Amino acid sequence: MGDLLYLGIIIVFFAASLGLVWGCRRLMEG
Amino acid sequence: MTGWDWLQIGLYLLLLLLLAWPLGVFMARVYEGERTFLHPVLGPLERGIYRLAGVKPTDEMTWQTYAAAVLLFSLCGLLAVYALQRLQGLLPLNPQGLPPVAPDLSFNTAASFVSNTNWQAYGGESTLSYLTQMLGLTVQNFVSAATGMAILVALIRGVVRRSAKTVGSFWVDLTRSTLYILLPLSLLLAVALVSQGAVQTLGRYVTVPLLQGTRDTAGAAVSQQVLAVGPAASQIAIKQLGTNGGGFFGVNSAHPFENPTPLSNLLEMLAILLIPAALCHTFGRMVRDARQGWALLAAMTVLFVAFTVACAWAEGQGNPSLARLGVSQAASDLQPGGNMEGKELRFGVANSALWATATTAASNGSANSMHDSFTPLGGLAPLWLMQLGEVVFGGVGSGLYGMLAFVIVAVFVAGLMVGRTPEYLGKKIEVYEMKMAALVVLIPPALVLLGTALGVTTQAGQAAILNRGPHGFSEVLYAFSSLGNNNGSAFAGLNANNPFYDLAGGVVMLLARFWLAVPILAMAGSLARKKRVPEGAGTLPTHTPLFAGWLIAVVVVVGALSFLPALALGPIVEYLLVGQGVLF
Repeated sequence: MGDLLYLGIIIVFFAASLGLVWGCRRLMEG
Repeated sequence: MTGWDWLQIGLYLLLLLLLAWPLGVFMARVYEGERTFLHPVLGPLERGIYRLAGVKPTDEMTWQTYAAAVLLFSLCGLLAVYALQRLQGLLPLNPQGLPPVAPDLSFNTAASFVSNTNWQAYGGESTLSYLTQMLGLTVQNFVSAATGMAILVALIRGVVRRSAKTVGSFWVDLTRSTLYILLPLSLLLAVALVSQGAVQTLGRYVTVPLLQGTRDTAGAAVSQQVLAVGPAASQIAIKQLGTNGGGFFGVNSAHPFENPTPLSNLLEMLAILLIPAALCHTFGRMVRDARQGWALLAAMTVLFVAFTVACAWAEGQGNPSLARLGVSQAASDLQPGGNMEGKELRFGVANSALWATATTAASNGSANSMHDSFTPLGGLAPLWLMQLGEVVFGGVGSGLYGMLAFVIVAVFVAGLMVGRTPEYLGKKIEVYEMKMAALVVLIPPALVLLGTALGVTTQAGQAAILNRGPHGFSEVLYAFSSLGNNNGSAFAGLNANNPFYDLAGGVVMLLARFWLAVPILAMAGSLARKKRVPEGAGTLPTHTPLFAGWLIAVVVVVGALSFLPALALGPIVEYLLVGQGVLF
């Protein structure tokens, strides 16, 4: 259970970070 | 503090600045793909790694691809370190038969080492197998440091290139940082440390007879002691050079097997700041204007000297409560003098204060003394150094790219003051760069202050605090300042190994590392696309002492505006109360 929770947090964090890359690109393109 | 103490600090600075220049030039040659004296040996190895990994070294990346590569590479590292800890009971190189690490601590430790923080909520010798230490932590010490250096190099390329779409290849920058810079320096330092008595073995812990027998708490006679050993020297070398900071043993570089002699102490302190200082020269060389690197190095050095002098002076004054009892704290043949609580006798106040400021100026976090035992003002110096955003030297790569974000803010504010479009090294600084720089400057204070607020207002956070009053507050503020700036040092006095700190700390460390790296790479991409503006009469020169002073002012003002209220609740009020005899 503990492992699933922390692995879930890791996956969500890196997915959100890729989202930040996408957001910064959108901002750059205006 | 005697004249000899100040002389040691001066000698350290002199050696650091002397060594930084040749290393900086060497690193610039490595990143620009020029041939160096290491290429006959390491060149074939580099090419072999590219062939094995299927990487074409000439294939460059846009900033988005570069950022995605950084994130995916770090995700793999995080999962690998997590799995190693959870499975260490089934894996080899575990002579003490240590059990698997708990999930929350595994997450915290994996996040800590992948983010180059090396916050340690565990005792190395009692928690981790040799395999976990070597294959998990030491490998991350290398590659997380190399990742920071790679991101910096991408930003420098962004500054240098004109109308370009790419900022280099992450795989090439990562490989070159590790192979040509971190590995050779670590090998040299590890051998030097072993020569001083640092341990390096895969053998079991050693049982030795006590020089003087004693009794345990139950009254039984004790005549033997178990000494933890292991492959320590190799980890210590990269923990210092890569501004990682995670010790092989729980007490870090206060342990005589990690830091046996005054010479090993000097070498380890030099290793903390060497690469961050040298990268300023690398920057100057890569932008084809060495004066730009000197200006950044001067700003960092002035701030570092100011904080070191303040810390050493405060610690040299001793503890006022002991002075009131008539205890002598003056230097003599029998004691180094000053506040010696929590310090190693062999290092004294000067080398403890110097280490404390070096380790927090860089995002290193290793320690040779207990920062919790510093006087309130002595403890304020390392605390505020971290809160300035780890840009006073800072982490390898991350320190300089953080400082360059402050440079963008500095030229923007200066441009507003004189009514001209701000420029830096021929590139116009516009709204997009300012937005990215603002993210880099503001995310760490937000993480630190929100984390501290959670730590002192929630039941789970309060349960971990071991001291009352302003000192207890300082402990929580220090912990989140360390986590939110990827430093990793601990004030102590806080029970940091519990689900609250493991989870909150892990998330804060990841955010502080990667949510700053992405805007920096975005800024690199944006700058690379721009044309170069010719220098004119209205261009603000950024290589002068005036600009270095302006940069220092911007860093200090942002740090003061963000943190003075919190510092007033912690070390400042404690200083005032300790002066009146109130202890915490």
